[in-house]
Formats: sequence, C-alpha cells, structure tokens
Amino acid sequence: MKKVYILFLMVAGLSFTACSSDDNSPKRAEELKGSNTVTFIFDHKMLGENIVYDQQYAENNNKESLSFNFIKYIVSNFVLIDEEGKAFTYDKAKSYFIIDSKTDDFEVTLTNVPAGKYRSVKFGIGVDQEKYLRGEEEQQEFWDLCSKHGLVWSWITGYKFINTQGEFIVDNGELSGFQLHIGSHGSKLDNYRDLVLNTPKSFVISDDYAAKITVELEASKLLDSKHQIPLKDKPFIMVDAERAPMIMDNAQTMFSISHIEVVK
Amino acid sequence: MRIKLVLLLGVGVFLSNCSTEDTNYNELDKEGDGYSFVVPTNFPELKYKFVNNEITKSGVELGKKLFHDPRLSEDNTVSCASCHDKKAAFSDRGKAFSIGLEGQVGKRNAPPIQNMAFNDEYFYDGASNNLEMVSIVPIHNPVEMRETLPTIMDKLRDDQSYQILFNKAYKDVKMTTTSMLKALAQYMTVLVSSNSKYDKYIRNEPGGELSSTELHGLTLYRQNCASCHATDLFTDNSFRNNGLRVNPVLDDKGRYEVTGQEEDKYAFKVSSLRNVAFTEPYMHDGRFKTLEEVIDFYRFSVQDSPTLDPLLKQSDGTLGIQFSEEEKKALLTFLETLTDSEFIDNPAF
Repeated sequence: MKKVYILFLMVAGLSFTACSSDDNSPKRAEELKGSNTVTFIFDHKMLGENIVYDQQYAENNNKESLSFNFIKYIVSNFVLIDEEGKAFTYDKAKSYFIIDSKTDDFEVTLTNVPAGKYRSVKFGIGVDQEKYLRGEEEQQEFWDLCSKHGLVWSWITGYKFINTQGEFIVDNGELSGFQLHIGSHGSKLDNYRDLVLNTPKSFVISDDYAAKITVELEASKLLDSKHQIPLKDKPFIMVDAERAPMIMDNAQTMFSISHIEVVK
Repeated sequence: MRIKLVLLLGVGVFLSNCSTEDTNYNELDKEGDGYSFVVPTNFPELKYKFVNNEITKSGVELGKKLFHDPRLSEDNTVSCASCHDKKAAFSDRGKAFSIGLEGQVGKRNAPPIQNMAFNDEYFYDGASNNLEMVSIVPIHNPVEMRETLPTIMDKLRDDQSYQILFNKAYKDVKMTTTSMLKALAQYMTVLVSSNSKYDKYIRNEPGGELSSTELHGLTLYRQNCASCHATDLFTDNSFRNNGLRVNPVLDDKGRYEVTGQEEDKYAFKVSSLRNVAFTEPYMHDGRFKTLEEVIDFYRFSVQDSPTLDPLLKQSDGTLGIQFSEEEKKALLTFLETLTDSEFIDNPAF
C-alpha cells in the first residue's frame, strides 16, 4: 500500500512542483472513475500538543488553567466540495457521528464518495432542527447511540452537541470542576453550527484512491477563541442561552485539517 | 381555515399497486387497517401530519397497549395510564403531583392528554417539540418510570401479542424502539376531544343549545380569556407567566429550564380549558383544587414580576382580570360546557 503524504505547509513547494504534481497526481478530474472511502480522524490537541486527559494545562487568556476529563461531541451533515465548487452531500440519514474520547471513538467514515478532486470539507457540530423534527424514522438508532455516550439530555428530548468536563484552577489556586453540556434549547434556540475547512491542496478520490483526513481539534479554543468564557463566572454550563451559543461559536473555530493521507 | 383530512389507507394500497408489479401479501394484509383521522371542522390545522408514520388501526392498537403497559417502567409498576387516566381526560385527577416509581413524587401536575396532534410543543416547559419523542421524557425521568428504551424492548420481545402487533403495524419483526415511539404517538393523536356541548353549539349540531348563563359565560371567556386560551383548542400553545406566586421550595422556573432565556422565567404552557371540570387540581403544580379558586386567583392574586405576561397588566395598572361574583358564576357554568363525555367514555380509547 503506497502512502502519499501531502503536507500543507509546503507553500514554497507548491508553485514549482505544480506541473509534476499534476503528473504525479493520479488523473485529471474527468478521468477519475468510481468511488472510494474518506475517513476523518479527529485528533484532539491542547495548546498545540496531543491532549493528555486529566492533566492541568497552562493558563489561557481567561487566566484559568484547565484539564479535560473527556471530550464528546456530535459531527454531522458532511459535504465534500471539489475543485469546481461542486458539492457532494453525504446521505443525510447516515451523516451523524459521535466522537468520544472516553470510548476512543475518533473516526468518521464516509463510504462510496464519488471520484473527484476535492478541496474542502463542510460539516456540522450537533444535530440540526430539520433532522430532529423528522421524528423517529431515521433518528432512533442514533438517539440510542447518543444515549449510550451521554449525548442526550434527560429532561428535554434533545441532543447534547458537546459534552465535556474537567477541572480548572481559580484565582486562589484551588481546583474546581466544570461541565459543559451544549445543545439546542427546544424550539427556542438552535445551537447547531456548521463550518468549512479548506484544504490548501486538493485530494483525489477514485476507485484507486481513498483518503484519510486528520482533523485537529484545539480544545483550548472552546472557552478562549471568538468569545472569552471564564469558568469562574459559571462552571456548569448546561442550558444557558447566553453562553451556549458562544461556546458553539468557539467550537466552530477549533477544527482544522492537519494532513491528508492518500491511500492507494 | 377548515380542513377535513381523511387518511384512507385503501387509497395508498391502490396507488402502490400501480407502481409495483408484484403485490406482496403484507400490503394486502394492511387492507382494512386504515384509520380515518378526521379533523373536527371547528379546529385549527393539524400540526402532526403523520409523516413517516401513517396512521393505522393496528398502530393505534399497539400504541394503546403500550400506553397501558407498566413494563415501560423499571420495576414494571408504572404505565403511562397510571398518571394519565382516561376517566379524567388522561390527567391525574385529585393529585397535585403524580406518584412515580417507588412512590416518588414529581414536581409538576400531570396534564391531560388530548388533541396532541394539534400542538407541537409538549410539556409545561416545551421539553419536547416532537410528538414521537414525547414518551422518552417520562420513561427516562428518574421519579416517573426510570427505564431505558432498549430494556423495555427486551421485556416486550418475548410477548407474542406484541410480536404480532409490531409486525402488523410496522412490519417490524425485530421490534425496534422506533416503532414503539411511533405507535405511542399514533395513540396520542387519536385522543381528540371535540364533542363537548360547546363544540356542538359552535357547529350547530343537536345537543348544542346553551343556556343564557352559559352564553354569558362564553361572552366573558371571549372577552377575557380567549387571547391565551385561544381557538377551539382553548390554548394558543404558548408559554406565559400568569403571575402565580413562586413556590420557593420547588422554584420551578418553567420554560426557562428548557431555553435558558430570562424572558422565559416562570413561564408555563397555557393549559387547554377542554374537559377542565375533570382535571383538577389546576396549574403546573396543582395548587388550586377548584375552578373557583383559579378564577379568584386571576381576580385577586396575580403577582407582578419582570416576566409577568403583559396581557395580565391592565391599562390602569391593576393586575389580573376583573370579574364580578355573578360573572364568575357564569364563567364557571360556561367551563362546564367544555366537558366532552363522548371523549371520556369512548371505549376505543
């Protein structure tokens, strides 16, 4: 099995390997045939390093040092966009996945992705209202799964999009616990978010080429990104109409694609 | 807008026969299983439209069986019907708070179950906006049924009568939680109360003659109550703070617990007035034992607060709604006309 690594920091390389890269790359888009599998591997980081759970990290911009016991969330509605901007939307009924650091579930596998040269990936965090309101038909299997992973509320019939907890050190140096359970608030507040991650270079899918895409998650951004959310103000954030949308805004910024492995 | 929606399965079978070449016996089997769901002419439009859950006699029968089955609770003692008694319009008459598993007590009064398909926000706080998911809430609640869906299915799978019904209603030999929750939704949709004396009056049907006191009460209702207890459902299905004094022990914040928004603090679902003579005690915490107490509350005891519904603040600054003693009596008489004995006594439910 030949593995081709495409590294995105090779900015300089791009310009003058363009021709040979095209030659090397399997085929022109129109000649690509068939379909293959795209696998996403969610790689959790904390301050740029591989996250170690239950370990206290350096202070963030809120002057709080955090540790995480676990990070769980729902990713959904995957769309792959090719070089021409054409979108391939993965079958909605199959497009809901759980990432759970406690159970070592870090992979999302999309099968039968049609051949093409893809440039970006769009996905959602959580469950959109449309899916929720479709009722039981497609939902129950996923609901049961989420229930096992602690990703549903108990007193309202909704999903927790993000469930994480840990400790933080407050001003006096004492450890306190925190918990974030973030989801939509009934019909009133839709906290579902989606995001687009561009790949600086396109990747090829065909009968001959599958792809493994590593998506990094920078956990510190959950509380310290677009919005600063100090935990000392409120360490248990569950149904909070002010903070829940801010945490989801932050979550939108915490993903990036670190590399793509083409699997021949 | 008045819609008469009749879902006739026979039509569905006919159409599917056109598009598929071979007829399998399961489809033929369903013939005669069609349930005609009729929207009362004085009702608003249906909210639950049976998408992916075509209503059938066997589906309703399955839902009814599940509704009355205590195996839906952890220790097999509490069924849905334990706290939603048909004789009380599916409420828990006489109990402020229902008794759940192991004698535990909840914090809210069991609401009646009626006309669910005309609503899309359920529970006092809107904890669910999906009828097919509603049943999950009491099943999971630790003081109500404290059970999980997969465990329920394990309990029911050995029961032959369920095997037959799951197969008949949903062609579901595996017996999935999906079918279970859909069937419960079907059963709840058919619990339509629309044949009270008032309904007959509105539809000009025999038995709909209102006395002068009842008519006076109707006028008072229309002038003072109908902005919230709106349409012939007698609720606008909104959430409002009606100015009840907050019980400091429970401190139930109502809709706020679902939305987290300040404006929703102490707001609760506007209850329907239908069959109200059968559903005491009243309010989300069952604090009033009689309808007279309820009206007196609106006359004398509405509390101001930042989220008090503006409709309960009069232009002169007084709170609540003014009724004379005589008007109160007329109103009480009118509320009796909302009793639907055909609903309460319907053997099909």
